[in-house]
Amino acid sequence: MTRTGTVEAEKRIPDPSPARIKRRNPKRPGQIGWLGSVPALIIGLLFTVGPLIIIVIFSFLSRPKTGGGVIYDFSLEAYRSFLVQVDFLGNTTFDPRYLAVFGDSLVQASVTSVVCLVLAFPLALWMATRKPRMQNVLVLLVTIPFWTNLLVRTYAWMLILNENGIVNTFTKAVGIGSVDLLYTPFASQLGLIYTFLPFMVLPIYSSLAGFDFRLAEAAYDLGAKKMAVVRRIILPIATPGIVSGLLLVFMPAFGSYVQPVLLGGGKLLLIGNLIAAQFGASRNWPFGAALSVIVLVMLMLTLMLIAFYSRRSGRKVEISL
Amino acid sequence: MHKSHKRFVTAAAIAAIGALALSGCGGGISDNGADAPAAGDGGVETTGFTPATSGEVSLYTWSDYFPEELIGKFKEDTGITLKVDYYDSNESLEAKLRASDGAGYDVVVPSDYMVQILKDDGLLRQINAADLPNGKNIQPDFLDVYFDEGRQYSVPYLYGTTSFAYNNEMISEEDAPKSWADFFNPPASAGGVGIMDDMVEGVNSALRVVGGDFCTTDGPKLQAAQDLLVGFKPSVGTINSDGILERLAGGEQAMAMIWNGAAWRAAQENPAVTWVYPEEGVALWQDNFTVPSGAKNVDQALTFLNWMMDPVNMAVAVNFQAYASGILGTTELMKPELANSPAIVVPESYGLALPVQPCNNDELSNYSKIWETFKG
Amino acid sequence: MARVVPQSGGVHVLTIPVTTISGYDRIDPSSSPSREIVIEGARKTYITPEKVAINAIDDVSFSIKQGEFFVMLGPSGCGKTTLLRSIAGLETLDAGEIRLGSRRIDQLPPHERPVNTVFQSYALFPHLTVAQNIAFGLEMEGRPRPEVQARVTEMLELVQMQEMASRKPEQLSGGQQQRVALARALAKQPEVLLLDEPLAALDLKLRRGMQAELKRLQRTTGITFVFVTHDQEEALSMGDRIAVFDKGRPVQIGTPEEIYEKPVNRFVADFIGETNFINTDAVRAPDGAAAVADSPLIITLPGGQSVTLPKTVPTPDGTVTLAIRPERITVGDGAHHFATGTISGLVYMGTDLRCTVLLDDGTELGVRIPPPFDDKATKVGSVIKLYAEPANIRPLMPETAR
Repeated sequence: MTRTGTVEAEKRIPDPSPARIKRRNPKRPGQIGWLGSVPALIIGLLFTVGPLIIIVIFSFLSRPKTGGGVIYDFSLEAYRSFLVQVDFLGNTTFDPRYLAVFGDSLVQASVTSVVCLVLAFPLALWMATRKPRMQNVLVLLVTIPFWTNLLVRTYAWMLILNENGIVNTFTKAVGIGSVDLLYTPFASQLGLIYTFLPFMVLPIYSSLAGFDFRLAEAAYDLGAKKMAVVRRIILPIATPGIVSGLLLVFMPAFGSYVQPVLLGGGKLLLIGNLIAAQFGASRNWPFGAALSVIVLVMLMLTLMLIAFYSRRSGRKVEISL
Repeated sequence: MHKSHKRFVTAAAIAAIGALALSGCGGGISDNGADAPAAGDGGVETTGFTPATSGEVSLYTWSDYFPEELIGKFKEDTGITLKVDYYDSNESLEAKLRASDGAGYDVVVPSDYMVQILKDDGLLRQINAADLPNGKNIQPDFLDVYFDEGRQYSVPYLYGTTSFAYNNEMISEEDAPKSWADFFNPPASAGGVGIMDDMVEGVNSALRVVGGDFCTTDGPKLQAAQDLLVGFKPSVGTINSDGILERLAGGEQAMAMIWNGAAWRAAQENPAVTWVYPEEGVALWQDNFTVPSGAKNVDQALTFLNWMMDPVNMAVAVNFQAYASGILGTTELMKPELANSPAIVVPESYGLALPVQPCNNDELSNYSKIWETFKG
Repeated sequence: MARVVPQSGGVHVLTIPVTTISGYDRIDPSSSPSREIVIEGARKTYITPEKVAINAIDDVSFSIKQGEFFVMLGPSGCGKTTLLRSIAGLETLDAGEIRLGSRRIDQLPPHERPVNTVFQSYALFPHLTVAQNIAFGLEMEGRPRPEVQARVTEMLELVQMQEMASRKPEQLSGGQQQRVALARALAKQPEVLLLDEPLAALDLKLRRGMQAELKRLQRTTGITFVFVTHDQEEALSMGDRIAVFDKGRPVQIGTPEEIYEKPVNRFVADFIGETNFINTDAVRAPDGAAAVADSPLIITLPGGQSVTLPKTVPTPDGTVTLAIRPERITVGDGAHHFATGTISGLVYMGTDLRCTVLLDDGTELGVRIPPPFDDKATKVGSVIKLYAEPANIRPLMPETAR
């Protein structure tokens, strides 16, 4: 009387019949023919590749004498003026201003990414260890900010941070006195972190949600302490989510300007505002296009670096949400 | 945000500047104004204009820059449905019209310099506004403007000035700013000063202080303007064209660059808000109704333009937006508190509300450089 | 071998030769008893979502000797895995203690216990290679790199996975993953290796191979193995000793032979192998007089014959349940004939012939007839006589006696 009396299945799946092999359209279930994807391809090309090509072309053209737009004369002036300026007295000098703008934007994006990561990882881990029903509720809570417009939420922050806002009412009541919060770099950074935190939490959570916590148990069993389990087991498994999160936060934070203008008072020139101004009041479309191309190339290099790292380390890194 | 008209505009200009200050209560205007309503209903016919009585016309204008009331009134008066869409800067409008080769809208509202740019690039339709039945209501000073001699392409809408205002409860009498120089060297009691994120207004104001001409290419003057702005940066609270009215009215800021209409509305909420005509002068800007070259409903558009030149209708916009207009007869129909406000109607004694011609792109590059250095 | 088995139900069952709870009598004098695992008064209660308290471990006390292959056997939910995890440190006991030698370990964190586990799911780290998986525990100890590498190589050899060192777990078959899990747990040279149903996910053939492999590993390493399974056959073939668990406690602990031949109660008899149960009246005295607690037991079998059993069993309601393994029943005449019945079913199994015999009182018995088979005598409908050695007829303790 064995309780495991299964007979080993030596049966093979029968060979496909010749008729099946010779069928003209050997589609597997769930596959769609190429024709089905044509509309998506066209839309994709028109709306992603198309504007990109236009931007690249514009960056090599000249600006008219007056007004915006471009005239079709090839010129490298846009790229040259990124690094070199002729000052008001006629001297041609190296111009670090635009590099500084890039640097400021980079710092803003990096701080946002790092703080979001530090905040999001424990939160995502905590979420992933809840009961399934609780997890659904938590994911919903994280996405609640998406239900309202970003501007509305930013104005809400202005109300919280301003001189008569909640924070200052509290600090005055406690006796610390009023604190200048609104229109400071701190407020701008706070707004960015607030805005992008869900974009960090969700991919990390999704990479941890399928995590087999028996692995953590195994690590404990092998002598790992709590921090070692996080560092050696959970963190590597969350890596794809972390990379996705970093990309999803860093890229928009790099170009964002709603929070710096509304909460930071617009006192810091960032890459987003700089580009917008070129197509607006500065009426220098080629330069705006060139700035966009430079940003694009930088991001592409970053992505390639990530892909390279991912291939070398053998870790799967993908953008998932 | 309601009624706070976003203005990124720069300079504006009306050719006959000197006379403008006087035009607020110009002599023989009222006669014309009295005739106007009848004409506005299409009773009088002039050269080749047939008022439309049905269909629709699409208006593309600045955010919060056209009163709802007029949409209904226009439908009642003419049977034409007015559809309104919004943009936030002359450059947005320009980009849109360039992209569509002037199609998509029947009436658009560019500021002075943008009229010139659009007109020169063939993006506007010639309408000969003066020949429309109500064309005679255009104030003489507003007829031969630099950007559109004889009003062949445009109909004047509202005009205003860009200066600054301060809170006289937060800034004491002896510290009260009187000039752009005071603005750029604010007293400590001013706190974080608000300045518009407007390159041309910002740089022009600085140039006024250092004695440079607008659109100058004089290196030392440009450098001095840049130095002035960079020195001003630590005193800056916000560089933002949005929410100026609210920040001043709420006492959040003690001093800020602002348009006259917005300053007037802020003062309605908070009487401490004081408008300043600086010693160096202010910029005068003017917005205009124009018909893009690709407009489809031209008859309806012309009907709308003619209807808007009726002071009865224009006065609704004037009273609602708190800006004066270049149409005869509207001053008489202004709310008294508006008409009596020196902020809205430039006092005769102040002769320094100057229209500003736009710079060409090379000159503008200097402005960009200064502004980017200031912001960066 | 006969010992008193203390039972909490207050009924003392005598004389059944079961390896006792502490089982010191089988200890090899050469092995030091100081490193044995002693579990004393262990308790663990779960509250289910329906707010019902369940005793996962219900006042358990026994010990596991050093170097022993100890199997904890029982159906799912019997508490065997919870107890294993308590030894590993992945669960905490509500009461009682666990000692390893003289050291109390139940309150130590897992990393301070010289104990490692092979998990049912293997729990290999998917982002690490085979070698990195094996090295993990050593690195956690902060061992120097050359030592780690040497040890990993040694372990890879031990489980014959040298070629797979740089593979990721997802590139391995189930059996290979199993070996890596073993190597990983053994790499730290634990005093005790805990195995939580490690073979459950393997197919039959592979499982047989791994059973032999584990046995070999246990012998060569000399490490105490504590092996949890619900497969009685696996338990019998692998364990030095087996603890059969039911409802949160071990009901019998003994060698495979003891467990098989002398199950203490119906649960054990039923769970281990195939058993015939015969309910019958019991009389306590040879002369049919009033029962005396330690007098011999006389049982009247269905065939009408009386069998005198040498020892005493409890007979709470005057009946007793007897257990007879099918292969211990012989067909034909013999000194200990106990029943006559009719063959009602026959299954040819090659190694033997499995008969179902219907007795007169309706009891069905399974009987195995070894070859050569007499086709004339053994066919459906034939009446056959059965006999069995009295020693093979086991009176069972009532299961309620706890």
